Amino acid sequence: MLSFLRSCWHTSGKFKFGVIILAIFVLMAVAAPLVYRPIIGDLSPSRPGVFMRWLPMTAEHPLGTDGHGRDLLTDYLAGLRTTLYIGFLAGMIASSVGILVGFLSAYKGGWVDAVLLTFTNMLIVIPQYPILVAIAMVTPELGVASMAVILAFFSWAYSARTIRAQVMTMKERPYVELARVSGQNDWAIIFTEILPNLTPYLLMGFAFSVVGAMVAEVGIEALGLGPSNIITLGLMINFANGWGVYSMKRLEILLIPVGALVLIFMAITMINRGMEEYLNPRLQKVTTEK
Amino acid sequence: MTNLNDNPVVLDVRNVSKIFNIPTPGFEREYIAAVDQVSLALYEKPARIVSLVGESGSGKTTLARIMLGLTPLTHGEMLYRGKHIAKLTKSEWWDFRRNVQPIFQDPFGIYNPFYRVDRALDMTIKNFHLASSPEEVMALKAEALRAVDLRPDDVIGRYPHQLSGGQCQRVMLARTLLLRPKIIIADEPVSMIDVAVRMLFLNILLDFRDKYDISSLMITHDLATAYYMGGPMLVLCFGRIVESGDIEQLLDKPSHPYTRQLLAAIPFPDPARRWEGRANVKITDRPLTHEGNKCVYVARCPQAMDICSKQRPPDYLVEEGHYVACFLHRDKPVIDSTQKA
Amino acid sequence: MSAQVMTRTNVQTLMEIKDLRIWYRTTRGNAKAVDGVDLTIQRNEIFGLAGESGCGKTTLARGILGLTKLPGYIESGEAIYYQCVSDSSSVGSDLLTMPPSELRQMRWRHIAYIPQGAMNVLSPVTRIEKQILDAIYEHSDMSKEQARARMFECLEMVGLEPTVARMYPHELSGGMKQRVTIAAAISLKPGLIIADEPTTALDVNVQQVILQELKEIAKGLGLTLIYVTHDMAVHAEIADRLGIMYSGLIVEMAPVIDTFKSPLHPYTQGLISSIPVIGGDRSRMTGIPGNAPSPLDWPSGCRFHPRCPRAMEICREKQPPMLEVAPGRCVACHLYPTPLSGAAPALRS
Repeated sequence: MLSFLRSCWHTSGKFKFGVIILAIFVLMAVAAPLVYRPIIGDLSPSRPGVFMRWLPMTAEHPLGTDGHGRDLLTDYLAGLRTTLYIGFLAGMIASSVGILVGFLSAYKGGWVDAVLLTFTNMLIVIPQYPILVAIAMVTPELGVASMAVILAFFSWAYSARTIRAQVMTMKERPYVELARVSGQNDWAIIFTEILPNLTPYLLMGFAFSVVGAMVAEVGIEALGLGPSNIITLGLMINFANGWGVYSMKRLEILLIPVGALVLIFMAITMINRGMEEYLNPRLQKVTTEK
Repeated sequence: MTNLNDNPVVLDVRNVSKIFNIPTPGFEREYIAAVDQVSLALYEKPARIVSLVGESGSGKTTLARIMLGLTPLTHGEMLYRGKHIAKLTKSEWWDFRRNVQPIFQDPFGIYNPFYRVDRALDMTIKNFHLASSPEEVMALKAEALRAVDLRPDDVIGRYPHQLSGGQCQRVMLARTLLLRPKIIIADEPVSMIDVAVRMLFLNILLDFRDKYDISSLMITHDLATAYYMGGPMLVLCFGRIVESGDIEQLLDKPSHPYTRQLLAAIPFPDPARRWEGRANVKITDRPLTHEGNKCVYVARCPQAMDICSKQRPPDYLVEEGHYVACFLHRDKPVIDSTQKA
Repeated sequence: MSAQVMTRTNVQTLMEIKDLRIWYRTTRGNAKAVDGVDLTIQRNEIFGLAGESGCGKTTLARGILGLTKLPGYIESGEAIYYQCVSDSSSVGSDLLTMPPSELRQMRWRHIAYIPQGAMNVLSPVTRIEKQILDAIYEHSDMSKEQARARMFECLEMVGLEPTVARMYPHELSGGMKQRVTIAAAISLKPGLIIADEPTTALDVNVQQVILQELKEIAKGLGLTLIYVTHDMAVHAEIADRLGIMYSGLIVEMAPVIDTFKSPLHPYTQGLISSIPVIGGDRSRMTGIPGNAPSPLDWPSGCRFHPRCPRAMEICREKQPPMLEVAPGRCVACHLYPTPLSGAAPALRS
């Protein structure tokens, strides 16, 4: 896995760029408490009314305060942290489920495959967003973890499909046959022969799930359907809209979360593309070598 | 090549067919017989290299996979040491696996790119309990690699893309040597490695026969390679064995039109001996549906007669040990296919 | 800006490749796939380019046509294509420095290329006729009727029935698909066809038919054919002259009969003696020991020296130049240091 990542880094400029940008944001998210603790002390970052509303940018409040009396920098950093957390959590859950389903489907074949595949396809076809909105509306107290789970529920399908397709090709590879005639049993083949070669696809599926979850989260929050007691980037967008920041000439309140999201999505996409770039020329090389 | 009745048969393929369904639009089912009532037997002694000559579409790979136990057969039966392959007990199955080993065509594809090449050796040693300590494992690997003319230092720890095609195939040979199988089934083992290096591989197979009593079934489309190996040869065409015998016999008296065409079509590496005239070959696709009542070659045969599209030719005896399935020889005695060596 | 142009009074030469180097940029340095190739192709000949995997022959074939894609690039050299302007003179232009629009004109109309696995890149959703006609329209200004007539002419020349035109690729066998690619290649009456392993994936019988057809077409239409394959027996059947490539260089170039009867370069000797022959002596053959070197790290001096049974001190240090040691026979080997013309040129390491 590491050598794969290292090779992607060396091969693809896109990959480098994406990783750097993403790393910056992750660093910001991780270091966030160090920055906002001095400003708000022990209070929760989402707590309103701590400061005066609509303060401009000053030394104490580098980005000013918002309409609820919260320090904007804190808003932003805490929101970034939560949004990323939701995304990665959802991504992990989705990937794990997706891998499990994809593997089972492809390796077992037969009716197991038929059932799982139908279910997966149904999930992909169902318009996820309206359902997410409906669930969000109906569930009053949505914690971060629960949101992650719900979001994960809708993003594992893509992972499962990709993994299934890959495993089905790999099942027929000569080295799998060699393993069989060398006495390897089925489980050994899945874990030692097939799984390691799936790493790139697992990573890509994971990246896709993360992005999917974050997009969904922003969508729900921006409409105001999510929990309003935990600050996330999506929620910031919702508030910004509600306060009418365009006319107040404090556009940055909207632009910061939007900009951050755009950059994060771009970074993850570039990472995905970078991995593809690395994989494809390698495939080409293998076929022209005789 | 006499049939010694007290000579135990390791692998006995009896009238084996493998039928594949071809999905077609509509309700008509079309099916194709990749392997069509093939019978052959590989004996315990003496160790021999049997060449199976066939082109793409002849069913040679399917036959190889059936013989390796990787693909189930549809009709007929295959016996390992006298016992039906589907009825082997667990320990008998391991014995079968140990004694019937493959060499595949793609020297690079056979290795899992994630691992180093000697993992293939490690895996085999471990699963077949060939060694009991890491030192023994190392010693076994080194010995096997040296036996195929490779330096252990050049190979151990390397990844497949760091070795050449020829080296990769030889590592495969080293792997089979670890098990000392009775039979190696080699499916086009040299077609993807450079000509200059093929000899090394082929010579090792010959060494295996002479030094370790290992027989090989060498599947190839290249008659010249089959000639170099010498010994018995079977010609596979559209899933059927159309001619069999010792290679010298087949070269001397090619009896089936397909064999004759094959021989005539091979480019001869001497510009002083070029093809004369134009080849008279009808290029058609393989007949799709399994029609058990015609000769498989009738669509392409320049000497097809009426009877060829109405019946399957049985095997006729051309000379001792040399059989052909062709109505052109219907004046000769018929041989029951299970009698063939 | 048009490409460099030169005139020749000799109309026999069709193409001159001078010191061509095509390298690939990789993370581990430059892979020098083609590293100083000098070749001359005569008009109306069938020139065989032989060599094993990794020697650079496909890179060379694609490079001459300007088909080199990143990370490959032309490091240096020229590939001059000569067109006849009169009975006694021809005009040459360097394909490598030609502007892309001119190069596109060249392709198909003057030089046709049948790549490796060409039959597999026929579009599966388009009928054969459309694929051939599209190629014709793209590279010429024939009218619809003329193009159709030309297409049927070509199909007939390769031995295909006119009904094939309305079919889809999957309805044809491998041999027929390959013939379609050949028909497309000759459709604009090019002066040169470069074919890269056209029969490798085909059955021996089909290969025989296609080779014979190619030869007939080439001789009949008076075109030049560069046939790239590792299969020496195929060269023996159809080539007039043979160029043996090893490690990115041409090591021997001679008429095919001479090459087989008395190969000069030890690599050629090894190559020819490692071909099993039906009906021949069956004593153990040895082939060529060692492994083909990597383009990232060619051996010093003569690239074949680590595997050469007759290597000398100098072989390790200096690369032998390509010299004409007999009329029409060139070889790059220190065993033959004196060219026909007498003076030995300076050696490069």
